[in-house]
Amino acid sequence: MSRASSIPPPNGPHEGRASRKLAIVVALVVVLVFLHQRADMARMGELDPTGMLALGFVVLGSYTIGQLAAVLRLPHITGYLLAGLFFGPSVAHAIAAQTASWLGMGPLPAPFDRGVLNASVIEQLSPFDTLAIALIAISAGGELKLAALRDGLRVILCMIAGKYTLVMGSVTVMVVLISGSIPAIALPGLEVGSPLAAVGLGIVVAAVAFSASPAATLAVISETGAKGPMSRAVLNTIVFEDVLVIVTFVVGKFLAATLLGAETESVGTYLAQHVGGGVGIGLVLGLGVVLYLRFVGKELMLFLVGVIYTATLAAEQLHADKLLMFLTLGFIVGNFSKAGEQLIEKVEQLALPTYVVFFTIAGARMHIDQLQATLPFALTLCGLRFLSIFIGAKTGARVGGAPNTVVRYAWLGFVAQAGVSLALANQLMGLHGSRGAALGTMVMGAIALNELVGPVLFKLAIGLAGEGQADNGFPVDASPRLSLPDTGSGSPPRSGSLDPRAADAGQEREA
Amino acid sequence: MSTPSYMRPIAWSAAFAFAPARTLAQGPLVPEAALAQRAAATEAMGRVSTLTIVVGILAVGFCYLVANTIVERFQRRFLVLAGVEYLLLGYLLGPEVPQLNALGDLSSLLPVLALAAGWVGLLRGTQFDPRELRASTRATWSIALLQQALAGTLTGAVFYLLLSSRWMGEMTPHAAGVCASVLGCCAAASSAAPFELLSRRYQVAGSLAPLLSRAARFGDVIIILVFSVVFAAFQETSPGARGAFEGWLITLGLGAGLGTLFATFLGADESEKGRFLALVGIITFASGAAYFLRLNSLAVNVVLGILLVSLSKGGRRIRATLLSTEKPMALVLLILAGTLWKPSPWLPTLVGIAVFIGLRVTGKWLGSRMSALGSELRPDLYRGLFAQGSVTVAMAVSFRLGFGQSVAATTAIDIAYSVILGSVILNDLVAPRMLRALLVDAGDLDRDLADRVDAHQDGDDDDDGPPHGTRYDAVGHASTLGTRV
Repeated sequence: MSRASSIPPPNGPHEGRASRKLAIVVALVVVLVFLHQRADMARMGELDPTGMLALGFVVLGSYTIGQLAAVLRLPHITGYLLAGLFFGPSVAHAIAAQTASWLGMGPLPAPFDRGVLNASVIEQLSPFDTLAIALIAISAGGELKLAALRDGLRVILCMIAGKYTLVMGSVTVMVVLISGSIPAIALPGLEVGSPLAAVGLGIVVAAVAFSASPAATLAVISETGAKGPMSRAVLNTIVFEDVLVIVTFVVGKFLAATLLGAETESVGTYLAQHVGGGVGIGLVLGLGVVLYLRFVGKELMLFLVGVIYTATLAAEQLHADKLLMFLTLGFIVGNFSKAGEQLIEKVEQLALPTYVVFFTIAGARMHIDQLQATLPFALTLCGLRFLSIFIGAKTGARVGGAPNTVVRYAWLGFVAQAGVSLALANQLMGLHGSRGAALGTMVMGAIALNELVGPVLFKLAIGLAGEGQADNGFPVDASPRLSLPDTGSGSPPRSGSLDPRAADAGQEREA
Repeated sequence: MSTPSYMRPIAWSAAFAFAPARTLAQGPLVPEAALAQRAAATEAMGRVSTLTIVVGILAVGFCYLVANTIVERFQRRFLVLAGVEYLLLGYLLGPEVPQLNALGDLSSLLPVLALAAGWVGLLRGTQFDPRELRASTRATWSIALLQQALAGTLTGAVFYLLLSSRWMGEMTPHAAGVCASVLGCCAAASSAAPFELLSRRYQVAGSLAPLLSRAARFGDVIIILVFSVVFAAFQETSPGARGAFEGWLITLGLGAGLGTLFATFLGADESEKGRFLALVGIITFASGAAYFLRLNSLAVNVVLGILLVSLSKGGRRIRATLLSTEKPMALVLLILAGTLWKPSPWLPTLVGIAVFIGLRVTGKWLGSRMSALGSELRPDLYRGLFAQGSVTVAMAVSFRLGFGQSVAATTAIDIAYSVILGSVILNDLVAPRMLRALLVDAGDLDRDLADRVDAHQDGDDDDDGPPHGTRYDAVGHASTLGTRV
């Protein structure tokens, strides 16, 4: 994989450029408002240009805000998320309208009255999700190297065990407590007959809380050019624990339905379909891709996109888990094909457009109003999760014999949540009527907070661990990629082994 | 070349996963039935959407692979420009073939079409930079202007008479004017694609090929601007709305304004990925703005491109980035143009194609003769400007999108659209061979050498070109690694 070494770090000259761009985005806002004043013209035959206009504006706006975030030493994706939030319906509905009414102003001009990225536009742009999630999963799977896993499996399993025990325990107890057992702290809408019946729901919520974001992790790693045991341990752990998240969520759903007396399908069937189907299709696809790379090897980008959409269709029809499917595909290609690097390189080429659109839409989907409504509960959930991750990951890393940087800073990498967590929370909202909706709203609020804070914390951890390229004196590519940066000759080892001796040896070589 | 090919597919699909829910503060929550209904609707929508995408992408992928293996070989060996297979594929996947109907939902494809057309416009605009302008001569402009003006005027006028005579069915003067003007614009357009095809196969010497290629590219820009006048003139707006001239000025103004704005946005130190992303945003925004104001997005993007490449410090890099995505975008445009095609009455269509091609050739022939008067130019230069290419397709698509429903005479629109696509197919089949013959006659390409290359390729099924490392120079000598043998 190539590294654009000529690109300066995201400060200095970038600051002026980003400010200049911001001024242009402000000018575009004026153009946008002007165009919407002429909305009566805005339909030519069957073509509704609103989505196109919004997409163009958001791509330019988010990219610029992402660059500004880098100037402030925040991750690019925080900028994209904030841009999405700012241009999305939440701010338009929850904040701007209220502010305008307090100031005695009339409604905001279109399209800001509904948000540039309003529900209709988000729907038009949502197809990017399929591509984005698949690319992220393939890339993450491709980064799971067998050799590195062999070295660091103990650390990964110990950290997962530590986090899992504490997050599951603490969050389940919290849900039981707010389920009406103690009326003073009951979550509105969540009335469950007995504490025992709330345990199933608690497990579902805990599974969502346990999930982290491979996308955000990869984004920050590639942006900072991080390489080393800590960042590698965080990424491998997050990819690995996805399976556990899905299994726990399914089991929790089953338990909740049983305890609440609702009809449910067999947990075995469900797991076989979702987990087994996902891994199975991923294996078949992975082998197919390896064969294609070996015998054809042409038009990889088009082939990749074709595979993604075809596989998505197959997974939807068979109810297989798409994330697991693409993770498996990436793992097979990354480990069993000599040409796998070429495919991952193609995946990498999509990084910037994918990140910008995906995270901007994710930001636009954040619900400020929901957060406001459940803020105390969401904050409590965040606090519990944060504490559990801190203690669990640290303890796990120590027990697993991880290097010092992993023990000290890896926990900061597990805070971020995004796509997977949101998808699960969305499922939660549809469970058991008002109970699921109440819990889902709370969880959505917590995810929104973690989504914003998580990448910042992980970037901080990389800096503290000294694993960023800038920390190591390597130039940083300001454009995010979907995979870990390559190391050329003379660079530190690409795969930061989790074995402390190997890590120490690596540090000695660097020294 | 490190190609940012990540824009190849325009990807749509999947479920609208994170539907907004009501807040707790808003009282009673969404009932389960409504949630289930919404989920089912979302799932169904996602499935249909994904199916469309899968078939579309697979089709594009298949075509692209075929194009890279069979058609490209066919193209080089028989010297033809590909295109008909993509149009046909688009038609098969479009709404006219309900058995497949994979790309039947045109409303979801229209933004992609608009984007692809805008991409063509921006690319043509960026090829009109100050360096190219300085390199142009009086001959360039006389070829570009005379051939286009005569071919366009002749074709437009005759078709107006034909259509007004109601030979092709009942038609208002307005509808006849729209169709005839668009046909005139398409007749005037040329393409530089055959030059690229020939340069991949032969080493062409002399100044004729660059001259004609530049004239074709400049001509494309001029014709797009003329097309925007037609668009503005015939666009039906509400009573009291802007006039045609005002509409055209707004088209130019929007392009110029956005061009100036975005030239500042795109700095010289932008990374390749950043530049590509910004271009996606720029084209999408400009095309969206053009459609919002019912303007011609091709013209807006052309003006934008001219200013972008002239004012931005990284103008040449911008053009290189756009050029690297030209092929997939042209492919997307052809396929989607195929989906928009509706079968028209065969007799008027065939007659229309024959008349169109005849008038176009006559106009270009006249233009060549006139530009040769009092100059050293050959009088048969029209032979090098037969091809039509992506600008014509983009204009046809804009015509279909812009007037397909607003003009009453839909049969005439169908016929005109069929005539344009038919002409593109036929002209692109003969254009490279005509150009090669012209270059041979002009002494810019050695006939024996060309025959040798052809014979070599005919006899070698495993290789598309001369042996690796072998180049053919202008005077007919094969040289290996730069040394004549």
